[in-house]
Amino acid sequence: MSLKRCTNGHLYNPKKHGQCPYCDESELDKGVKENKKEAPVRKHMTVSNTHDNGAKTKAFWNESEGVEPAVGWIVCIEGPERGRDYKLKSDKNFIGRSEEMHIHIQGDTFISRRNHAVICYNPKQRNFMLIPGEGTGIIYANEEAIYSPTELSSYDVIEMGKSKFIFMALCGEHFEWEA
Amino acid sequence: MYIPILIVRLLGISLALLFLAVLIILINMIPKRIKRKNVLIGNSQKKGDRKIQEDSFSTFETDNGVIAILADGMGGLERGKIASDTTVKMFIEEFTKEYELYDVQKFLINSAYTANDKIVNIANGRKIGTTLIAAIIRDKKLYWISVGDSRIYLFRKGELIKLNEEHTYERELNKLYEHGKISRNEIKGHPQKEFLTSYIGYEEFCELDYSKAPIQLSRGDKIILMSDGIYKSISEYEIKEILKKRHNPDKKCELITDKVEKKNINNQDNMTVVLVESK
Repeated sequence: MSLKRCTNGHLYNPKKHGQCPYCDESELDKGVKENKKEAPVRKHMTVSNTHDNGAKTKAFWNESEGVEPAVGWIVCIEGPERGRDYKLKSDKNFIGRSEEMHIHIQGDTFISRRNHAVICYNPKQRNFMLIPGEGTGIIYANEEAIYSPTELSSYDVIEMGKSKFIFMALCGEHFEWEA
Repeated sequence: MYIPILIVRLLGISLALLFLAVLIILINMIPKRIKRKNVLIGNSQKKGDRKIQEDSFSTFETDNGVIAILADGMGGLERGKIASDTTVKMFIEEFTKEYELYDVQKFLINSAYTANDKIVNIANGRKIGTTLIAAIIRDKKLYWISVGDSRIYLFRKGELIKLNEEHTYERELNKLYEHGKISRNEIKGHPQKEFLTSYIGYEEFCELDYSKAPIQLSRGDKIILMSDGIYKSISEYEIKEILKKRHNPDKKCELITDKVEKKNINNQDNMTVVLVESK
């Protein structure tokens, strides 16, 4: 099989692809435009921990954080993770105890490992839906049991397992990320 | 009658010398023209579940050797792509510009610092960055550098050997564990363990992993560069099994990304793999 090398140094099979499948100039151009109309500068984030022997240990980049823009949050107000905030991204956010979940809630054994619930942000309708998942426990929103997809508004209190969360929306009526 | 004979002799000698000179020049030129390709290269890249491909990669061959680069960009809203693409392009440009590369290791390290300055400038205070793996093979010797959590492996006689140490917080946590400060469980559940402790585009960048001495390559040795989208989804065993098969490098790379896709991992990250096989 004779491969062809494109000008960007990517090898590809010319019989399979008319042009290099790894070069995507349009996406790059779009990125450059985005760059120019950016919102004000964000502060550089570092997390610094000083442990016993006084040396500073550093962790600089949260990979998952840099990938998708936030559309909202849930903040734990009761339960083992009280005080912790969880970022919601666009489309589906799967909630569970497992680390693979988008919203990974540690410590509450009454929350299922996988797909206990889903919070879904619909960018087209700009609304948030809470969808009960496969867990055995009932999910409550503002003290009412949820059995089917239910719309969420800011300051709604969601109860899952032994924990309570306040939901806050960023995107919606007042704001949306430009495509 | 003296003089004509002298002239003829002188002429003869100078012609002979000229002929010799031309012959020497021609002999020096020939090896470069019929130089055999010392390596076979393959690559494959997929987006996974993400909207944008923020990984970048490239390979080039010049008289200075073969260069293979992989960069996994971060920053969201397509900024990651700018970081990784700029870094890769910069390395390739510098590599192809060099008339003769004297110190390969120095070239790689200096280029990493230059790339970092460039990305910091582009970022202008925002959080943009990229991991980087750059490898140069010259005269069957491998030189490499690594920043971040992408990986470079040597596959030799059926064994997969990771060459670099990733710059993740987990490494710091492991040191704490060795000093008896924390337990294994605490590391396992630590929410920051996958944070990067060094990357290109970091204002205080200084941590860089590199080959302390060039690695002499033998026939059949393979160098594999991959982003974390690959190794976080499939095991080294699965990668080894694919590398052992009788396929060309490009097919092997395709099989690796296919294998990752088939796993259907939630929110699968961008994946890139580059394979350089020594002949």
